[in-house]
Amino acid sequence: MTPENHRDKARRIEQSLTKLGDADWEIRIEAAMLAGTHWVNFILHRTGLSTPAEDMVHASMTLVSVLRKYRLAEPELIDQLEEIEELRPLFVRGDMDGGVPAAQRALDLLAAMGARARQLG
Amino acid sequence: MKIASHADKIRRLLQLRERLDPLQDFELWYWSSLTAGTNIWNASLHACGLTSEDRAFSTIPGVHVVPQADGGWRRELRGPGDVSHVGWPQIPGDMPAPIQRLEAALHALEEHRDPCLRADRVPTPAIVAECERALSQAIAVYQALVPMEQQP
Repeated sequence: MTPENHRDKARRIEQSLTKLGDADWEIRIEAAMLAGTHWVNFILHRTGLSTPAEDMVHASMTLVSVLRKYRLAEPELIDQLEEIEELRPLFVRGDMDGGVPAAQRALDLLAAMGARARQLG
Repeated sequence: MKIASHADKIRRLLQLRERLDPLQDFELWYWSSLTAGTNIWNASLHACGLTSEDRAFSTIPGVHVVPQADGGWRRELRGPGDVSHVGWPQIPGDMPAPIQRLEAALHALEEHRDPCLRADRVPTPAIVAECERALSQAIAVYQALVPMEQQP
């Protein structure tokens, strides 16, 4: 996808997030994963680290050597996406206590990723 | 994961869908549907005795996150239990007809995941209708297979 399409998808998801509440922790976390991944691709495409034909789907599914390259350029960004992904088995697919604060953490991470992306336009 | 926990998620996810506009909020409307569908799949397989109801949370096929007595968790290699998506992995054994119908409905729902969420396909009323139809079929199987007392 082009950087512009990633940006548009991320913004749409962020807009829809305003309709969710504390009881929707699963989809808050999933939205952070979805929008956050779009922001990662936007940033990697804009900075020339990857092309529109090389979209990342999940950090956890990315080739180790490729993820290492992305981390060299954007270490905080990759850490933020990985932290969101780690919440998914526990609170989206699992029933661990603490879903509400976990979702808030995911949204904070997404906000930081969005802020980095908006520096690039 | 226990059927009761799947049922709690299904109930809340279906309520969330009602608060989202299927086109304006397509991404999260769809993802709520997809997540409800996967919980329906897992709960229905547990109810039929085809997969374990153990409190082990899905990641990639064969690897589960398992809560520990000290409040922590660890990854473990495990056999058939919860899955993260229908067909990932395939469940071994003979599938009863309702489970086969459920599987087909969820695959129909999954078809729109990457094109609409991770590519450039623009959601349309027709796509929304297909998703609605697929999830309705899935809910009907779930309600037939999972006892009411386990659907809070």
